Amino acid sequence: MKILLATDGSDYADTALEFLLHFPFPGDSSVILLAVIDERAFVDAGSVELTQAQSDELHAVRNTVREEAQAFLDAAAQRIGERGWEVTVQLRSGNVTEEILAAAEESAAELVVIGSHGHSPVGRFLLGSVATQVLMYALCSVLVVKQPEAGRPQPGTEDEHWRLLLAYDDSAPSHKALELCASLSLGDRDAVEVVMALTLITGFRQDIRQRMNPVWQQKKIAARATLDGAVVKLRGSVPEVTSRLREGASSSHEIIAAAEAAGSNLVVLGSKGKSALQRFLLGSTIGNVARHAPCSVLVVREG
Amino acid sequence: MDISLLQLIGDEAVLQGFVAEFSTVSLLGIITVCIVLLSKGADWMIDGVVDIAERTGLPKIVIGATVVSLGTTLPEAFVSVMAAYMGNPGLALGNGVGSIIADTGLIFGLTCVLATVPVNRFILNRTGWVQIGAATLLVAIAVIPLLRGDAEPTLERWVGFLFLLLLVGYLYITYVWARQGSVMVMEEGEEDSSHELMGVGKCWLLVVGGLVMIVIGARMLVPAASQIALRFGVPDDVIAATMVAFGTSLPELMTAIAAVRKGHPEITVGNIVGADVLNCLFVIGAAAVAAPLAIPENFYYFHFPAMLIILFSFRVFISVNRSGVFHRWQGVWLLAVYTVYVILGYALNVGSAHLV
Repeated sequence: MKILLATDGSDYADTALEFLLHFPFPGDSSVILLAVIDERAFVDAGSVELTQAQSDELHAVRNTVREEAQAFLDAAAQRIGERGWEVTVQLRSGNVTEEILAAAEESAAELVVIGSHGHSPVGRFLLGSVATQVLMYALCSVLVVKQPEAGRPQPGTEDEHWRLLLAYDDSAPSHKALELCASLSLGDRDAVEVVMALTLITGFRQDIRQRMNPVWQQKKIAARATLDGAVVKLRGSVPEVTSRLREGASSSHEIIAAAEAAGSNLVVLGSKGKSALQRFLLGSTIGNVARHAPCSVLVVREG
Repeated sequence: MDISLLQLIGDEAVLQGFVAEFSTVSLLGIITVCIVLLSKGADWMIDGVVDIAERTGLPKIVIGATVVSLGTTLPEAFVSVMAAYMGNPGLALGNGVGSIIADTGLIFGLTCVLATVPVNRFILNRTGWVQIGAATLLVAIAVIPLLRGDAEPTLERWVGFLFLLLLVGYLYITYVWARQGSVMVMEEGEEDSSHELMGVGKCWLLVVGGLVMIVIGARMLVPAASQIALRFGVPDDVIAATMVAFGTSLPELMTAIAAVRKGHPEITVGNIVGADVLNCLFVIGAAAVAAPLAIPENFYYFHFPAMLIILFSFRVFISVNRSGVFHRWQGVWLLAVYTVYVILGYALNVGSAHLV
């Protein structure tokens, strides 16, 4: 798989790298390691008269930042090389999000991997601004890696087997997500749980009337059949597959609750490619899940 | 003007006078707040009553057929009863009839345009006939005094009692039909995280709190709407049938929008048809019991015909829809009738300055 790993040398970026190195990709992958320096802070715009000393200082700081970036890029490249994957390194300057998206498009990456936060994780934001925007606007799949809960080991190691949660709704994007899960080189003790969420209208307790409607019963029967079909497809390549049908007010809430209940370390879901207006009017399941899921999230998109 | 809160709540004349002091924009703001209070109050009450009902072991089918259906009609009922009690029959009747027109024309019409609504023959061949039957009965009863040559045709109290009696019968038969037509079974291995029962204290708090909000909302809305009618130069029944009816139908509208968004437009059929029946039997029935309702002239040549046009159109669509779904053009027709109704309501009365 062609992967772009965006890094800024922070702890979150390190976690993302470790996650990536342990992920059961089918076959070998090639990685483009990307760091972006926003050099706008170091530009002498000429609006303030700088002394020679000040100007030199500015240049020196800029060079230091570049050297630091190169250093953590090289360290990361070495780790990836040890895994046996092909790796190239890119150091770009400009707006961080724009450069990541541009690099992904130019290199025709199939997957962008990014940590949930960077160097300045503001406590109240569940997802950093760069991760959020890359998730929304990338044209390919995106893996947002979150810090594991305190004390929880890195998944894919001896102490922590893969416990994937596949959010499935029988749409084309979710089929792609299922295909991806089926293609992974999972071990005997790794598991996948397939979850389908049926939405209820809970305002004014209309959910009670909704459940009384025979169409609802038909929808449930159809949903169970769809889930069973998904399980059958996965059983060929995944040792442990379970399924669960959930009902609730919002599908993102049900997905998150399912991930918490199953102790998942990765949620996989397909992207419907909603426009900004659609996201505004209909809500964004991906946005909600990415922000509130207790674990990392992989959003699968058609390249 | 020195008014105590008690006077404001208890004395209608004081309340009317107090409301008259506000500017038109402020009045519209007050009306908006009242509408929000009515909707939110209904939401809370339903939440509280449903949980209490579930605790007593009442089957969900009964709860769905009674509490949930009645709950979304509470705003209409309280406003119309309050209006009747405060001596404003035009507002009381206008709200009831206007809500039927808004539910079927605006809300159902909009749903048909935005989504594919299946024709639920089970509901439409049962509740559907009660819907049109109740409305026709209302018009028939209203027309009798007119034909008799009465100077002031009135919906007497006995009509209110009759409607409430029919309401009880309707609730019972809805329960019977619901049992026939649905299977509510929670199976093994299913997660239902949609609702956990709340503490009893919280339930009662929601019921009482919701009720207080509804009463306050209705109490303020009636004089405010009446005042707006005065300022716009239209009769109370026109304001009631358009602005007030729209506001009190907010629960139905919000449910319909949620249904379309979440991909479950099928529930709208039952909701709207049920709401229409309740608007007739519950809202107008309760209002007539509160006080006999003098029927303004407007109803005979405007409101009643509009209501019958919309309801009979709806009935025709059900009969002709062989494909099992409502068509978009039918939604457009219903919306168009509603729009023309609203526009004509104001256009026909501008300058007439006919007031209750």
